[in-house]
Amino acid sequence: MVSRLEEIFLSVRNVQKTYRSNGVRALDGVSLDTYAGEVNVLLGENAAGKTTLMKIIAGIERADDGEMFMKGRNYSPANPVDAIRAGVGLVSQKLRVIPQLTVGENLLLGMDLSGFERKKGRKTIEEAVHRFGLGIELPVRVEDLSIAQRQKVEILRVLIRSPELIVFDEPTAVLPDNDREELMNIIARLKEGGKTVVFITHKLQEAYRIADRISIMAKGKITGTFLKGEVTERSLRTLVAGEDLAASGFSGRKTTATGEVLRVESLDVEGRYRNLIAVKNVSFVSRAGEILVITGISGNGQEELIESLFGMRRVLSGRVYLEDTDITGWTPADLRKIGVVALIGDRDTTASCPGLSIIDNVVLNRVRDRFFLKEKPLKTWTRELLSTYGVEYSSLDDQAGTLSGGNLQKAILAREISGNPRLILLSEPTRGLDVKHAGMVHRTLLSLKQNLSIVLFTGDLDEAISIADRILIMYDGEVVIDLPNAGKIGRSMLNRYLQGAAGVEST
Amino acid sequence: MIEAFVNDTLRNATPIVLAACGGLVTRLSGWLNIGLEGMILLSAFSGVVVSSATSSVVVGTLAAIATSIAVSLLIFVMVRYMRANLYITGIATNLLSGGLTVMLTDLWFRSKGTVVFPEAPRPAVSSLDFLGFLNNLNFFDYLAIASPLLLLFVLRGTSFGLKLIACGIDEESAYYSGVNVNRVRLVSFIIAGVFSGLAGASLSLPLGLFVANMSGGRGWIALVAVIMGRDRPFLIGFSALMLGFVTELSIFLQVSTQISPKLLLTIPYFVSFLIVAIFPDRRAMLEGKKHE
Amino acid sequence: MKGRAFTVARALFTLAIALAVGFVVIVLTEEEPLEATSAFFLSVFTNTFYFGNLLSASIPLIFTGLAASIAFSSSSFNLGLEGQVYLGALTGTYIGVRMGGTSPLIVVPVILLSGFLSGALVAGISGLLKGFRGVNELISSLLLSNGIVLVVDYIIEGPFNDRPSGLAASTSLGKEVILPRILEPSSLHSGLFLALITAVLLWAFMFRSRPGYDFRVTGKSSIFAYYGGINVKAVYFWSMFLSGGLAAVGGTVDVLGVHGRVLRGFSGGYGWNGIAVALIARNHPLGVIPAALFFAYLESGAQIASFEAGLTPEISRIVQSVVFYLVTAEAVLSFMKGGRKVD
Repeated sequence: MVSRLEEIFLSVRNVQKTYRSNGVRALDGVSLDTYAGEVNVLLGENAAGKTTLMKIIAGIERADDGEMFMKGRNYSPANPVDAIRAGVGLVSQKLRVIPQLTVGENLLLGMDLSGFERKKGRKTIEEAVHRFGLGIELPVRVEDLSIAQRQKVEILRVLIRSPELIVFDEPTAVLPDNDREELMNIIARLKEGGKTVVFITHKLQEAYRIADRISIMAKGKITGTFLKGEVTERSLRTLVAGEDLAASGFSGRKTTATGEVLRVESLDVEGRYRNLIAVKNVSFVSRAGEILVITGISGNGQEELIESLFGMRRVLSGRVYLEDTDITGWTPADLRKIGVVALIGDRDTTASCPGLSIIDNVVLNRVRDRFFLKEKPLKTWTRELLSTYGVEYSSLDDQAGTLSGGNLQKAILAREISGNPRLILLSEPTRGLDVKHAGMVHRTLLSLKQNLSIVLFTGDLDEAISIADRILIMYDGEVVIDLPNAGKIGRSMLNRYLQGAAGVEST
Repeated sequence: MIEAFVNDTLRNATPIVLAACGGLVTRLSGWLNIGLEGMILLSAFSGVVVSSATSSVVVGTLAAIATSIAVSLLIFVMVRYMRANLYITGIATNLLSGGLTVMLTDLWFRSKGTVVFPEAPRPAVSSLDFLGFLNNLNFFDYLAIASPLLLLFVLRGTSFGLKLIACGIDEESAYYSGVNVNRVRLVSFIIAGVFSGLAGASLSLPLGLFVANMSGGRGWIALVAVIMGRDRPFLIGFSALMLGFVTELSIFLQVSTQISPKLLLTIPYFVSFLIVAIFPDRRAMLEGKKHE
Repeated sequence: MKGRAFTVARALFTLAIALAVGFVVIVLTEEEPLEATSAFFLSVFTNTFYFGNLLSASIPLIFTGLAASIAFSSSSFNLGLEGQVYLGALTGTYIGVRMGGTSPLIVVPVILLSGFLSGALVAGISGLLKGFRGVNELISSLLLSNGIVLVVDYIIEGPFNDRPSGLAASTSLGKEVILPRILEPSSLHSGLFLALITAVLLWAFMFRSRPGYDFRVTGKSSIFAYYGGINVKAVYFWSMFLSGGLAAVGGTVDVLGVHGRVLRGFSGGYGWNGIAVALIARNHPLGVIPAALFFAYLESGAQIASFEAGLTPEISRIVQSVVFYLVTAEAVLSFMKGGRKVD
């Protein structure tokens, strides 16, 4: 299904981008061609640089080096306004519609109107809504819509500007299965209309299904581009991971779970905005010697659940117990005192502080119990801890922002584990880590689980299967599946469970 | 008697309402301009000086506005292009204005305190004797009354207003949606300049004189009104009115009672403090759990 | 250390530019620019009286500089420094007068403590409001401070006034309580040692104690602090509390050392200068000392020049605001190190 025209719409040549704040080299000389009338898939693991590349194309960030050409002419947007005017539209992974405004207002926002023209805009919007078949009333507030509906509003907002190139960044990450079909239809229509579609994903099956052309991205580089017919799904897998994922080194394990550590009863947790409930009536138990993995499609309340367990999100009702103590709604300070630790939230903004030195970041928990700080002993302790976990750095006094993602994660993990905890809460512990580091994290967790309980969230099913003793699947804020990972569960079985769970809500 | 009181309250509230409108716009854009105090002071100075020199209220007012816009833009440029801290730059501006006005009054008019401009034209006042409380109001007062309405129209009825509101809610999403956030901020700083210039002019022109520190904390009180009023122009207008009332009360009590004037002058400050203390700002509170 | 040298170089550069601006303003506005310039920049060093006064003026600035820097380090804006200085002066004087007759060994510490507490409690209110009600401490502390200055003025003109002298000043403290003078006939007093010791103590607090560490971490990222187990609300309170207390002590010490009583307007900008000092010193307690000396130099120079050459004393205020602008405009000075972001 290759376009007859074979016309290159946007060409990216040798683009480089290093984030100054943490020295991460996100793009290491990326060259890519996107073709009009085709679905150009950009496939790669998390943190391969796909989103960064799209941000540069959409004018949200600027490249350090390299060039871009649109239909042969130089293209270098200084901001999103430039990009939009040039005909580029981006549907972000994290939806950018503003919930407190109405559908109409969100659509209006995206339009290039000068100061006073609100009426003129209204007309254009009404026509566009009709043509697109939005099916939602304009005065409705976006915060009252479902995620799929919000995404539609976002897509329409992008389309109203009649872009030539539309990027979809992991659009199915938050969509239940039924809604995915609709999205695919929209994309097909765009393609037929001669638009250039760029579709970013890390899911092989999806890429294979929808693409005309697949470009693989890993570690900030494009490692290969193939027409769909030229490659099989299995070979794609190897190309993406760089090694054969089939052997992830896990062959079932003996669960040695003992006493109950964490008990959650009928928990309701507040969501992103005041009237959203992200977690509904969730109950489960976690035991010592056990790794409990909460998974499912991201965005269904898993992160919020973990955050609420550590006092980082408001609990609306329900109870949480650590052995016999009621810890519902406790602050992180109190939780840490009784042995609960967590690696949650944004690595750079919550779990660490890039502006503080490495040693200041690492001793955070260790010094809770004292008044005087003695520099030498603390430095020694920190050095030993970091070397045990293989964290690479130049000086303890350097800012934490200079650590690479993988090293920072290891340092944070080291810090949290060092206090001999009873319960470890984790949220996407291997996000952005390459296979080697992810493996190390897994091995560390597995070696620790003996005396304590680990509860972690990951959106990655493979990861879930490889380390869990017990798997919890959440959908729309509720626990729909709670089963032991007896080593016999395969990915396809889990997938079926997931689809079944999603199918709970049928249209 | 009551009429006179209401009348005085309205007139007292004028500079506060005007400045608060400008403050609101900057707050919505994401960068609250706390240099209002200095902007008002400098524009009060330039306004009365120019109006005296040109014998024209209009030109004087325009000069006041121009001065205020220039200062506002200075703050904007420093924060935008030189990564200056917004609050410190605002404070610096307040200090600079204080020093500059005193230095200039000394230099040009050989006076450290009050400078009177006898030939300065005064703005016309309304004579509505039958509506006692609306009597004696000049152009600035009417503008102050109309400002919240004007602001409401801009916010709800124009696309700039929509962009401004969007920036106030979620700046990043607005940016992604194609709103030129920097342009919005620039415009809001200019608007703040306009309003503060009017506020300054409203202080000095009707009296035809300039006193050191004439702004008298009104810039800060305007900020209180902005905070009290959340993001609603009418609420802000109302808050400013209340604060004007409080100022008026202290003046009234000075005249009519034996209580020390100094103590009475504290009323606007302490009342504003109580108001600020009583209104919890949910958005600003660290519950630690607001995880976007 | 590279970073440290850069910070110092940047501070010097900033001050040099600020002085240059001052010079330009003098040239533009004075009839006898040379006379005014030399009076402003140089007379301070010409005799012991001037120089001693310079050092004396730096004492309260060290305190308010420390006060501002401790607040800034925790990301709090204590704009109520002026009022806290006044309050400290008044409280200290009042207690001192009431305890007249008791041994100075007891009275002086009590005076200092009471002064400290008065400012600390007032600022602490703002800190509490910030933690528990999300109230912007910048505005709450400023409003409170403006009101307090007026109240103090009222008190020293009214109930606490020294009637016989006819001044706008309070009753005087007994001579035995006044801090011993160094470097007569200037007003330099042994409060200088107290200031220096306080600076060192504060350094130790910020960098060698866990509460100081908590302050710094909260200042850099309150959510990281909360997540890490720091009681952020407590930090908000205690940082404002200490800040207000330090500023108030500045006022108390000035009374104890220089005036012996509260004079209306004695402070003349200690609060705002304190903020400038903290900015130049990048909130480092030991850096506050040279920074305070610089600003005392500015104020003294302006006063002497206004005395001897008729220069408008407001020059110092203008130079001060230029310093503010320059210090906060990172980009202007970052060219010195090729754009590397420091702190």
